[in-house]
Formats: sequence, structure tokens, C-alpha cells
Amino acid sequence: MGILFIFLSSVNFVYADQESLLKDKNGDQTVSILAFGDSLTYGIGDGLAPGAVVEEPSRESSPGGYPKRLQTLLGVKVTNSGVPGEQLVADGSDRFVRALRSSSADIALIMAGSNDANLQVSLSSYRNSLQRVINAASALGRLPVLLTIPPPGGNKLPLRPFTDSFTREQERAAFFNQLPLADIARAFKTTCKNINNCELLNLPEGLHPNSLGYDVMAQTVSATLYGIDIFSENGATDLAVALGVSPSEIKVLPDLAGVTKSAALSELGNY
Amino acid sequence: MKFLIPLVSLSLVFICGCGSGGGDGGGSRGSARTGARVLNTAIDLPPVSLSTSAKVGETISTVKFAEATGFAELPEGEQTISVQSVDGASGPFKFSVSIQNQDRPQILVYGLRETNGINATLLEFKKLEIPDGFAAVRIAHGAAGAATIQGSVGVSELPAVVSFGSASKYLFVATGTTLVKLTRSADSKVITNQQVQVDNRKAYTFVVSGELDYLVIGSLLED
Repeated sequence: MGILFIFLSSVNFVYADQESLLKDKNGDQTVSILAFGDSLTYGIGDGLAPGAVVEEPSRESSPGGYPKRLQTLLGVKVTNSGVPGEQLVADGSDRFVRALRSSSADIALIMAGSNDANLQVSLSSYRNSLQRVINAASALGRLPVLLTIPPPGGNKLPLRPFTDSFTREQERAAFFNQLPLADIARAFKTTCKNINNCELLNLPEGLHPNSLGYDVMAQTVSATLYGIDIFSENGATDLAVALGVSPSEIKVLPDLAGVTKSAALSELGNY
Repeated sequence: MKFLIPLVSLSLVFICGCGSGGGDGGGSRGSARTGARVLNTAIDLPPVSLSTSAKVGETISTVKFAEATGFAELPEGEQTISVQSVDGASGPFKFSVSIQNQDRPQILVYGLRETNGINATLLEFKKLEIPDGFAAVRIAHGAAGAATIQGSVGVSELPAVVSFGSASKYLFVATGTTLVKLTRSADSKVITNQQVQVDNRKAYTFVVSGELDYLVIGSLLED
């Protein structure tokens, strides 16, 4: 004989054709997020406005960056697990498992690679480390969401080929593992007036986003988590409705011609 | 224009009080009478796909790391089954098999891309005769960082160490809740200490996936 249980499980935000990723995977009645990464997750360079001359942003700040904004935008707990200077292939992947085990987060946002690019680690090592953290997150019952890296500019422009390579690895990993991708690199490319000296970065330092850059990152991640294509014609409007803000507050620009979509992704589409 | 539609969902859950009771010990069994399953234990490997020469051009199953899947259906007869990572970088690993009489082969994919590479083993898959009151459990070792492991299932000790990339012989254990204890042979480091539920006259593979000192996952799968 069957017993019928009825309970209120969750509030799901559903769009006409896409569904939010903000779901309670572990059944603890809340949705929470772990934001994992390096100084770009921690929020180094936050609090500085576009136009300020920044040779080297202070590392004395408290955590901020896109995770803090994301928490405000989405109204869910977002834990900042960014460690400045950390490489994914060295300590990052080990710390990732420890951070997940000590967290009840449903979603693991993963943005790592700037320091690996800086030290020019091999692409295969980066690829394998990225796959390790993806597999660890999935095996521990969390949804991994990959974030690409903001393209460096200014004094760090020489790092661009390396970060571009790692961004392609993140795109490949998202494709082969069928995971959501928050394409921060693409958002910077569509939104920056001059990608080589982008006003979303602290300049001339050129690696860490400024306040505007972290706004763009948070909005891009929010759109991904809501299942919104922020680069589409209606992306900004859809995101504004989802967030309950004015469309003029959305700073990410669309990619109407599709010119900044990665060539790697186009190739993978034919896989 | 898309609209945000907040939906308050009501979930209806029916719990059936009939049946034999007890769980399946974490196992999952596909409906296919003859089929194959991949045990993807490699922590730095993307999902792997399974295909057969009997269904050319078709992927019959895709399996993520440590994922507990059922058996993907295979036709009876001689065929070559192949396993390859979805990015094409590891494999294909090919095995010639003759499938008949409810045979259900399992392929253990193991290793680390970063160090010694990925490999695959076809595990023995002939149907067992299991005495009443017992279940059959074997250990499949895919945890990198331990050349061999040893241990016990319930009161039965594994008769020999299990090498990385292989499976033990089946042990007959009393049905009900039982404890799987596994250690690394080299230094007795504990790999898992996990209680599982085994049912009467059923066969299981307990697979250990991942890498010691990083992440090890133990899963009991019904064969």
C-alpha cells in the first residue's frame, strides 16, 4: 500500500525555454554556491574605478569581487573560496576537494588558470587538473560551473596567448562534460571598448578587474545560472527581469554578430 | 520576450510499502538482459563512451567518473566492444566478446592521464550460481596511488591482494548489511570502510574510483 507524501520542495524559476540552475541539490532546503579560484575570485583590484592608474592593486583588501556581487544579485549564499596566487595544477585542485568537503554548496563555480598562465604550465597539465576538479565536484554531488578567464591587457598583455589557451580548455571541458559555462572572456570582449587596454581592468596592471569588471563578471555568472544567453539580443533584458533591476543596469553588451564566440566552440559543435 | 515565471512546485512522492524491502545497496541495474557497463574510475578523465561493432556508428552509453550506471543493451553474438574518452584522447580500448545467455560484461577504465596514462580491463562476466542466503561481491580496484589493495567483505577476507586495474574473485557473503573494508597493501592506509546492503542471490561489483590522498569513491553496483 502506498503512502502519499506531499511537500513543498522548492521554488523553481523557469523561463520560456531555459531553466535556472539554482537548485537545491543536496536537499538542505537552501541553495548555496562555492566560488573557487584565485585572486580574480578573491576580488583583488575591487573598489577601484575605471580610469584610476593602478600599477599593482593592493592585496590587503577583504574578499569581494564577483562572489559578493553574486550573493547580492541572486539572494543566495555565495562563499568566496579564492586564494590569491594559487595555481590550479599545484595546490588548487587539492584545496578544491577540501573546500567542497567543508561546504554544503550545491554549485561549485570554478575559475582558475591566471597563475597557471603566468607560470606557463603545460596545457595538458592544466587540462588534467581541470578535469580532476570537475570530476571531484560531480562525484561529491555538486554542479560544477566553469568560468573563463578575463583576457589580460595593459602590462599583462603578453599573457594573453596563455589565458586564451586555457579559456579554450575550459570551453572544451564544458562541452565534453556537458556543463554550463559562464564565458567571462567573451563578456569582456563584447563589452570592452579596447580589449588590449580594457577599461574593465585595473590599468596599466592589466590582470585584475576593477569594480566595473567585477560587475560584468557577476552579471555574466548570474545569467548563466538563470539559463539566460547574456550575449543574445534580449539577454540584457531577460537578465534585468530575472534580477529585478533596470535593463540600464546590465553592463554586459550582446554579441549580435557572434564574432567573439570562440573558434574552439564552433569546432567542437561539429564534434 | 521571455518572462520569468516563479513556479512553486509541489512534489508528490509515493513510497511503496510492498516488495522485498531494503535497498539495492547503491547498485543500479539496467533493464537489458544482455548488456555492458563501463566503470570509469579515472579521476582526470572526461566521460567515456561505449560502442559495439554490432551497432556501428552508435554510442550505446556515456559514463562519467565514478558514475553508477545500469547496463546498456547489447545484442547477442560475437562483437567487439570499444571504450573511448569523449574527447577522443584516451582509447579506443577494444574487447572481443561473445554475448549470450544474459552475459553482461563490465569494462574497468582506470589510470591517470597526468602520469601513467589510461587503460582498460574487461572484467570476468559469466553468470554465477549463488547459494540461498548469500550474495556475491567482488572488488574492482581503480583507485590510483595503490598498486595493490586488500581487505574484507563482511567476515570474508579477500583471498589475495587486488592489483590496480583488476577485480577480485567473487566472495559469497551473508545477505543484509555488510561492511566493505579495503586498505592499501603497502602501508595499510584505509581506502574505504563502507557499509553496504546486499540482497539474496544477487551479484555485485564494489568499485573503488579516484586517487588516494585526493578523492576515493566506493560504489556497490549490482551485476
